[in-house]
Amino acid sequence: MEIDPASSVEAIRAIDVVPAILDTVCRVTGMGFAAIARVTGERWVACSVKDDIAFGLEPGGELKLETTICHEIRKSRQAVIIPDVAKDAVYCSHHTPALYGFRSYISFPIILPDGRFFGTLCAIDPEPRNLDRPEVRNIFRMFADLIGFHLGMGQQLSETQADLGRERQTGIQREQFIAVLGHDLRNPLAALEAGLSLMKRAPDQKRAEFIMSAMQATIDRMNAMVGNILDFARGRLVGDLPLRFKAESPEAIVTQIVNELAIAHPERDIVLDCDSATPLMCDAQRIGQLVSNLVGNALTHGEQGTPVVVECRESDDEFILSVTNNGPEIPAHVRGTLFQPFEQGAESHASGSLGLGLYIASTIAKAHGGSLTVQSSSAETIFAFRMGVAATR
Amino acid sequence: MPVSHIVVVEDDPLILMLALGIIEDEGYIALKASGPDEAMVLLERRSEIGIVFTDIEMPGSMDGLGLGTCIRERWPDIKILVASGGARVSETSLPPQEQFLRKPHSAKELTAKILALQLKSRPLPCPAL
Repeated sequence: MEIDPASSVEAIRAIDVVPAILDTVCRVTGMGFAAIARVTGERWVACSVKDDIAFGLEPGGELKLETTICHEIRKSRQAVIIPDVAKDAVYCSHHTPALYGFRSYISFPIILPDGRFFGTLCAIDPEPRNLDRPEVRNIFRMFADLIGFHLGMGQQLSETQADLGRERQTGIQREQFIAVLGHDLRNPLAALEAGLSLMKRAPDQKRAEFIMSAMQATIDRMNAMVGNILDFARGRLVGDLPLRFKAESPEAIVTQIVNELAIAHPERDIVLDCDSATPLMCDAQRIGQLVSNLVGNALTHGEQGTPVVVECRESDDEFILSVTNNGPEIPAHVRGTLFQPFEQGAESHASGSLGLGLYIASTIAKAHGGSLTVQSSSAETIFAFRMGVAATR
Repeated sequence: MPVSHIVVVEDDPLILMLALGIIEDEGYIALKASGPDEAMVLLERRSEIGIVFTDIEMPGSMDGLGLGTCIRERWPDIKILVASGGARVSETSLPPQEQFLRKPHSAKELTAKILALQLKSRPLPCPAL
């Protein structure tokens, strides 16, 4: 994790002993200005400052990198100590002392525990100061090490906290997952048990056929749920959905799914209106699953006796699939989290819905560079899937 | 007056059919509704209904608990039996004139609950009202 200059100011501010460090170095050396600076390849940023000589720099203030000696320390990682610029063979003609008007200078590198360079602990004064003493050197070295150690600890702490947050989130999802699984698979199981009990009551031929077709539909529903669970586990816990892109006819995909669902729901009216001839670069199986989830959802939540309308359109290089039902309005607060896993389940719980269908549909849409949106009013609810036609060629 | 008509509200056709069969076997007249809205239509049309047996988790404008609240307000004499496959409802969270049945249940459990509902006395009228 890179420490950017802005957060460096904050990281130094979080270290309680910094003001005491700067005060101590000024007292021991007799110098009027001390600072902790973050020095990167591009910038020199003051993170904390003690300024008794009106040098005029505050935390967050910057100096032009090339004008500083710290810039050189970043490369050499060696401390620079100049008791008197005028008597120093190397720095008497250096541009920095002349520019900032100081006679004495001391700067020690601050190295993070992982070995990366953070910046410097430095001090300047307009007068020459007796800096070439072991106690001065030791104090600077010790303080620079202490600051580096503190920064490392702070960084480790925030990384640990982020890890913990991620772990906790995964934990919550895992718990939800198991709760929903236990609950929602029990519903179709209860239906199958009821079917068996009904068959034991020696029904007549016509009734037996109805019972068996209803049991078959329940098994299909459980199969679809298990498929959704596996996709969820793959997508969420392992990584992205694996996709196989090919040029496909959207009309063929949508028609096939709609026909299948119409057979499974003979009592419902599904209206299909397809006007999209351009092939789509997509994974036919996944798009079929998206269509199936959207239409299945519309059949569950749409008012009995009203049709579910499936439309395919093309406009401005965009393929648009919309699925409309006349069910009750989805409240605004539910709409916001509708595409999150399990969210459908938390609100209106239809038997046979794991609350994963819309989440998976939206994952599939995103994997195709597209989007899934919802519009809902008291008159109708429309789910729309959009993906580029040109972009995927 | 003993109960003669019972409405079963259930969106799953198999569970609905079995419940209707069990209730008819006990000598009641069973009426079916595949959702709360259908149940409300039945209740408005038929005055003989004594018990409503409803699933909690159902799609539509309200769930089984919402239907129960609605019935209590409009037809306070009708007794309610709610069923759920989840563990969301405890017996104590229901009003005294309601009973809870966990799914899946046997024919015996269902008829026992129907009997228990009929034996339960109605709550005492509140003197303040």
